[in-house]
Parts: sequence; C-alpha cells; structure tokens
Amino acid sequence: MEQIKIENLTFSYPLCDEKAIDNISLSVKAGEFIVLCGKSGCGKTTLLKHLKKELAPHGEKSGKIFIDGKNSDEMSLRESAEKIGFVMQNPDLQIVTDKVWHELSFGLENLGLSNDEIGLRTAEMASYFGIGQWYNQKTTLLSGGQKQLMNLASVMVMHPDILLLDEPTSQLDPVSAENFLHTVSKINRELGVTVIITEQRLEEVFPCADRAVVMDEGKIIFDGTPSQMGKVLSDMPSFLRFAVPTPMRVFSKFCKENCPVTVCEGRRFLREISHKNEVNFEEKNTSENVAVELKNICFRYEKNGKDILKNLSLKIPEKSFFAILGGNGAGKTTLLKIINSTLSPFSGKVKIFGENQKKSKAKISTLPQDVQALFTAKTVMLDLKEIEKDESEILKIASLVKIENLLSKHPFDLSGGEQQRAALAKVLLCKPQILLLDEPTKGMDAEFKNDFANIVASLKNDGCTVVMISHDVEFCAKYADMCAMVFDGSVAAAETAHKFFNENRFYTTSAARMARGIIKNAVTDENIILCLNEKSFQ
Amino acid sequence: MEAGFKGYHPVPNLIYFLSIVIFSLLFKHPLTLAVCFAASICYYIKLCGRQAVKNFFCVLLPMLVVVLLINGIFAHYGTTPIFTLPSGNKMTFEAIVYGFVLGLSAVTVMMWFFCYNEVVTADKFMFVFGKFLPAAALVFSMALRFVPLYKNRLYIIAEAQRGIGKDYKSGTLLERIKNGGKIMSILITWSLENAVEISDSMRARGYGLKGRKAYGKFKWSGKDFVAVFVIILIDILLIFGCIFKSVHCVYNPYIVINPKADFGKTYFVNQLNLTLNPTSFFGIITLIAFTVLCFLPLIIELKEDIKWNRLKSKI
Repeated sequence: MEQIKIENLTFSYPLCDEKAIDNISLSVKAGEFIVLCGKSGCGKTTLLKHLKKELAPHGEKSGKIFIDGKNSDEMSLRESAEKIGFVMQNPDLQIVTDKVWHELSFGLENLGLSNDEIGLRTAEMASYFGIGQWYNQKTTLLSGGQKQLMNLASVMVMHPDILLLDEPTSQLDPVSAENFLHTVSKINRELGVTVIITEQRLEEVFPCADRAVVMDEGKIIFDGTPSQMGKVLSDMPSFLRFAVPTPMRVFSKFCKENCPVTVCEGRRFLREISHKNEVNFEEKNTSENVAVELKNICFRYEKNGKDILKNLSLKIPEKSFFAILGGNGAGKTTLLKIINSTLSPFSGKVKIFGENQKKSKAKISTLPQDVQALFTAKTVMLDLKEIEKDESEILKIASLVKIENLLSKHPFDLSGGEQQRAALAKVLLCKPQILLLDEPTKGMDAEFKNDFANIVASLKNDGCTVVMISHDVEFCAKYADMCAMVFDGSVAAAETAHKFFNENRFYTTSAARMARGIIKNAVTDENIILCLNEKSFQ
Repeated sequence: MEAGFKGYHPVPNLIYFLSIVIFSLLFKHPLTLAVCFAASICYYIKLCGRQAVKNFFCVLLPMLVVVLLINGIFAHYGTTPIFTLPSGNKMTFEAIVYGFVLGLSAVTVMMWFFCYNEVVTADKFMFVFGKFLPAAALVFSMALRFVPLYKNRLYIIAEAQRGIGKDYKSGTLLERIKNGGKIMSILITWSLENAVEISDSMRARGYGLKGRKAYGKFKWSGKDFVAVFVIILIDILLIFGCIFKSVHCVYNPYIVINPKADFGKTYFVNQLNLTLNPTSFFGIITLIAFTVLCFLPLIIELKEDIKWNRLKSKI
C-alpha cells in the first residue's frame, strides 16, 4: 500500500492566475528515496509543503492528499509533527534556541514527553549523527554544515516516518553537502524512513535515489529511476540537462539500456565506447597587464591569533575571469576583503592597476554572499535608482541580467535566484573596473548558471576584471580563465582553468575524474562528448 | 559532570546564591563581614584563579577605597570628629567606619555574583526558570540566540553596503547618518522576513500543542537533597538571628557592636565613642551558622579534593 497518495492536486496562490501545481497525482511507497527536481519556481517547494499540513501555503486548492490512508486535512497537529519531518533550505532560519541540546529537545518538549525520555532520545540521536562533540555548544558558533546536520537531527528525534527536505544543501559547501546527503541516505537505508528531497545539484543526490520526479510549470513531466531518465534526457527541457550528473549528461545519447549515474559506472562505460584518447588544451589568452597584484600578504584577525593569510602572493590579469577556490576556512573571503580594502593586511603590498591600493582610484565593487544585505528600497527600481539616477542606464543593466519584469516588486518578495540577479544589477550599476563575487553560484539553478556565465563574458568584453570565490568546481572549469587554489593561507596553485583541473586528481570536476587515464586532458563534459561524437561518425 | 558545587543541581545552586547575597547584605557585624569577605574571595579565586586575583586588585579594591572616601568626606552623620576638612566639613570616625563596612559588603556581594556567573550557567538558570514559566523561558532562549545572530548580520550588511560604496564610515556627516539608517532598515526588513520561516520551523516541530514541557538535562540526586536541606536549615536560623537582632550593630550616631546585654562585660573606648557589648549565646550560634553558609561551597570542593587524593594514592 502507498504511504503517500496525491490525487489530482491543483493549487494556485492568491491573486495569481497561473497554477503553481497543476493536477498532480503521485504515489509514494514506504521507504522510498525520491528526488524532486525542476528549475526554481516550478512548484516543487509548493508541492513539498502541501505534504505537511501546517506549512501548506494559503491559496485555492483542489484534490486530495492521503498519508497512510488518512486525508491530510484531517490529520491533527500532533500526528503531523510526529509523523512528518521537514528540513528547510536555510540552515540559520530553522534554529529556534541558543544551545544545541535545547534545539534537539525542542520538538520533544512540544510533544510533552517526560524528562527521561527526552534525555534518552536526544542522546541517541546525538550519537547517531556524531553530534556528541558539540552537544553543549551554542548554536551560533556552529558551521553551516553542522547547523544543517543539527536541524536534521532535531527533526529525526521525533521519529518521523516521512522526511521532507527542501533544497537542504543549497547553502552548504560541497564537502558538508556530501556529508549531509550521506546522512540522509543512511537514515533512508538503515531506518527505512521515506525521503522526499528537492535539489538543484543532482550530482551527489542521484546515486542515492530510487526515483526521480521532474516537475515543470506545475506538472510532473517525468517519473522513474535516474538511469531510466538518462535514456529520455534529450526529450527533457534544457534545465534538466544542465543539472543531472556528468555521466548522465555525457552518455545519455549513447546508451540504449541503463544510463550510468556515478563516476565509477561512467568510467566503465567510457572505456568501452571512447575512441580518441586525447583532447587539445584550450589555451585561453590572458592580458599581460595586471589588475590586482598581492605581494607577500600576511593577515590575522587578532594580535595573538593564528595567521589567516601567510605570505600570500597573487597576480590577477586584467580583463579576465579569475576564480579562487579552496576549502572552508582557507582564507578565501579574507583575501577578497583585502582586495576591496575592507581589511588591511598586517604586512605586504596590494597594488591595483600597478598603483598602491590607498592611492588607487579604480572602482571595485563586491557582490556579497548574502545578497539580501544589499537591498534598501521598497521596489527593485527604487533600489537601483539609489546608485544610478538615469533610468535608461538602469533598463540597460536590467535587460542584461533579465530582471525587466521584476522592477516593480519588493526585493524580498523575489525568489533566491531572482534576488541574486537584482543584487548583481545593483553592483553592476556602480560601473566597477574590478568586480568581486563571493560564491555567486550558491543556490542558483543550473540554467541560470549559464545565463550568469554569459553576463560575466559580456562584462569581460566591456573591460571589467571579474574575480570570483567559489566552491563550484564544475562552473569554474567551464567558464573561468584562470583558477587559483588557496590552501592554509597561501596560494597553492594558480593556472589556467584547464591546466588547473587537469593536474588535480580529487579537487576537480567529475568529468576529469571520469576521463582520467582514458582520455588525456579532458576536463569538461564537452571535452568528453567531443571524443565520443567522433567515434559515432566513423 | 562538573566538579564541586558546580556539579550540583541548579536548585541548590540558586537557593545558595540567593541566601548568601541576601544575608551578606543584611548582616553588618564586623565578624560576619570578615567571614563573608574571606569566604567569597577564597571561592572566587578557587573558581577563576589568576583572573580573580587580577580583578580583585584592579577593580574591587579601588572600588572599596572610593566608597570609603566618598562616605568619609560627604557624609555628615556621626559624633566623633577626627579632623576637619578644608571645606569645613568634619570627617567623623563613624562615617569612615561605615564607609568601610559599605565598601566591604559591596565588594563581597560583587564577588558572590562573579561566583554565581561561574556556577549558575545560562543553561541552569533556564532550567529553573523554565519550570515556572516555560513560555517565557523559551522566549529568553530565543533572545539569547538572536542577539549574536543579528549582531553578526549587522556586520554583514555594513560590509556589503561598503562593497558598493555606501560606507557609514566615510563621507559627510549627513551621508553617514543616512547610510547608517539604511543599514538598520535592511536589518529590520531582513529579520522580519526571516521570522516567518522560523515560525514555520517551530510549527513543523509541533509548537503550539497542548502540554509542552521544558526539558532540563539536570538530574536530582541525594547530595542535592542534602545541600538543599542544609541551606534551608541555616537560612531559618539566620532569619531568627535577624528578627532577634542577635548580631546587630549600630553605626550612627555612635558605634555599638552587639545589642545591649544583661550579662558579660561591656567595653567602652571613650575617645571614639565605641561600645562593645558581649555576644549572646544565640549570637554565637548565628555566627557559626553564617560561617558554615559562607564556606559551604569551599567545604564541598575540599571534600572532593580529599576524595580525589585518596583515590589517586590507591592507584
């Protein structure tokens, strides 16, 4: 029998003609791991929220949802709290209390359990999730990955049968994201909890999934296993093709039966069908002129603190797209703050276009990680007018970042991706010569990443130097001119993108990992597809 | 589990500090002052070590001197002038002594508060508080989370605005005020927006169900019962002591230590108008009880230290 059964569900938001969910029927068996995918604004979050009564948005609704054979409208708050767990996107916004142990016990306190039982259940969960070490910590001191893991644990203590996750890893770095998804998959396998998860990045989540459900414009357009999806991928809308794992993207055209999903399966497949075993280096020519030069920079936050940057030297060429990669706490953001002179180095020199930083009049603008921090006005238009009075200038930028139809909305009413674009417009209106971006691709859907790369390319044409901090290896490999790796406070390597990812073995794209030893110098999926195509022609 | 009195349940912890602070403010007898001061500084040093010594000499001792001087110079009561100040005011023996008494009891109470901070952590306070007012305790806990969160967010906003040239640190005063105001306005909008999500997260975990209970990770044990029993017993003795004024002193218009008695011998120091009455039997009991109360945490610590040493020597 199905655990969740959705029958002809249709929903539209108030004052909105379009249907957010359009006649959806879906059934889910107990213990399944389902990935719900689609581009932002396709209705996947709305569908997910409808499964939990108290989070269901207001609006016009028809159709029925049954959970364990019971109509979800008739479920009591207690049943729903005990049976269905929900983890949201932003790790910070779900935390209620100040201490980790209190956060874990919060749900159980609400259920009114006895002190002993709460103690037992939290202790059990804390050891299952490996939280024991920071059980008595303050919640504000945790890292993003730890916060999200705690949010998951604080839902799991209530022993739910169904776990709903709404883009839980979009705000995390790749290592924490992978760790989080492993834990979710472990819960599914070991405890038999039904998991429904929405995701932008499908690379890590697809290998764990039993079923993938694709939504577009409020409708379900595909429902099947990930490897079945590979076969029909070419008929799917383009956003999906950008989002699926690299092996699927590469092989979808070539496989008749099951499409490889993991890198390991991809390698096996590639050995059989690849013909050519080398691709040429794409040499990207960068300008001789240097936009930013850092010489022997040292920095620490406190006099007796540890060095964040140690003797760091770096040259960023003019009119290039320069990516700075590195793990958490390697000093990337500190480096960015030194370039835009928010922080001044303890020792060493910063030169902007050959001039001393303090004398330089070059305009540097920064797009921060939290773009909400930029919006000051009631509408996007008014917000942009604060920087630039000339309306035609605003419209020009607005069309570049595709926000013409959003100008009259309140910035906080926009979705995450839209906010990112509006913030980018605001930063661009400052007409920077050097543009600094702090993890701009975090939370972007795969399709907009392409648009974003085009925006950067057109900026480069206008003579702007773009420096980006990123965890997004695939994006950097595809679009950046040069990449630098910051490790332990200094630059471990600075190369052209292709060379950089070709030399790395672990910290590289999945295409490079897949093609290692089979196709020389292949770094992006285009490189691999090139080799395959040539064979199929022969 | 933490060692010593820190490892006790929040209830004895709180009752203890409540009693010690109240009684050290009530008793103004030189003996109680001395005992209380000695106990508080010993316990403070035991808990905080070097930091305590530094704090005592840099902050508390100067404070004592200031209180003493201010009371001596500006108070007009007392009957025994020692010398006349240039302003014409007479500095009296009583004012100086009472200034010392005030200063010493202020310093002592402050040291008890420092000890309180070490022993009664926010978790412990919340536990007791949550038993009586669960809803208020939750609000308190949320506030403790939001303060650092918003502080950090303010910093993020200021930095982001600076990154697009809207600096609150440079430009004309008017521009700076304008930019500063904008930073606050973003903080408020952003935080209100987020409040919706937090309330969703709370409801999703069943907040609003009837019968919510506050969870505390502290377990009641035998030693806690003994501690509460001892503290309350002493408290009762001391309350009687207060009511019957068995350790009473008067500092104005002249100093009388201990109440007038029909027994024993009374000493007078005529030059200073000082009267020293003998201590009554009940007065002695009160003093002993107060001494035990003051040194209770140290006794507990000492007992555990001895136990440890004995265990160690067995190994």
